Amino acid sequence: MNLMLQIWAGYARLTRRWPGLAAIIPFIPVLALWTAVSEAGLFPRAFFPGPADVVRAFFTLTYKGILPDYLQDSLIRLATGAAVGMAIGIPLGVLIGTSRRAHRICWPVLLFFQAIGDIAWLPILLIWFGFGLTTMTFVIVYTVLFPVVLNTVLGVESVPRDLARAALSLGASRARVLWEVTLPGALPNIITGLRNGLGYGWRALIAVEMIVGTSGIGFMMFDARRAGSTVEILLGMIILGLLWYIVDAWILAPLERATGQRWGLVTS
Amino acid sequence: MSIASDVLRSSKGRVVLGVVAAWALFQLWLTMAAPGKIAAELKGTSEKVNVQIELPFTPERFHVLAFQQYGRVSGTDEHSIELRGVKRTDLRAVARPYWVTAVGPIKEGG
Repeated sequence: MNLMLQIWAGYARLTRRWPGLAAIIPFIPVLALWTAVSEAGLFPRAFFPGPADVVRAFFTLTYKGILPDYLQDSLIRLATGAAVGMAIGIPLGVLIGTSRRAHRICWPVLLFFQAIGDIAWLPILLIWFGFGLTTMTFVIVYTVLFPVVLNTVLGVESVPRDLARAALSLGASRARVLWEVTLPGALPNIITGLRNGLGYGWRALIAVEMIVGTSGIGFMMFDARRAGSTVEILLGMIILGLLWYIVDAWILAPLERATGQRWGLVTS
Repeated sequence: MSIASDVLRSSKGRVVLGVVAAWALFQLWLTMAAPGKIAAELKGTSEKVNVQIELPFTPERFHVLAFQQYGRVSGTDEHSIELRGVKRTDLRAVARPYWVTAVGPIKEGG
């Protein structure tokens, strides 16, 4: 018991000094277990490769240009989908949040389509657009759109009406109230929606690439199944997790904190 | 403005910016290095050329598919891909990937 406490204290000291380690240390037991099982030869190497095999596959695929190219394709698709999703979602969310009539008209439609999952659209999208970029972009935009719209509506509705009234009574135009009161107040929620939407979009992208893609990380993983290359499938899974961790923890979460602190409304 | 200074102050922000800058520099280097990989024998006035693209490894399906957008892949061997009907204006794009070592005329009987 005492030893456990000492280990925990050491861990706490270490992670306080180097906070980056807090994200790496929990993976050490997972890696150790994975190495032990693969080295023990419980399963054939072709079915259960070890971490060293995955690292080798990473360097080989990078050397051959396959991994960077597929990664770039996936990231560009996600960025395009996110940009279009935001361009549609934020104005739509602001409209629904600010207008009762728009809310009455759009809300049931929004909830109806939200219930139809992104992958459920695939059969009809394949008939309409075929196996191509349009189908993939549609699915990502669709996935990103709902969290952005719903969170934007929530953000707009959470801005105290008194602030808008105060600005109006001081002579601000409606456009200025929207730009300087409503949008800054709703921004933390918008960023939260974008963060959630991108997370869902990333997962949807991989699924779509597996089904309709001819490039991308999802395609790489699914194509590896054809060749029976377990190591490439594992590499794809690790890249997905790592990349999303970096995007979320290093870009989206700080952005969310920064906008929340800076523009979040303090009503107390 | 303050977000930009926040990003510059945080170590994560600096790492992300550093990676983006390194990627941009790498892309610039690829663009600048591409003409140097194209053989002088390919100079001429015809609109299209047949080229042999040298790689440091055996080409896979990915590489064949990548070049199909520029011309007709007529064959591969141990370390190269034969591409026919490539527009001269596309030669730099063909030579641009870092895994292309050289682009030259097709070696007949090779």
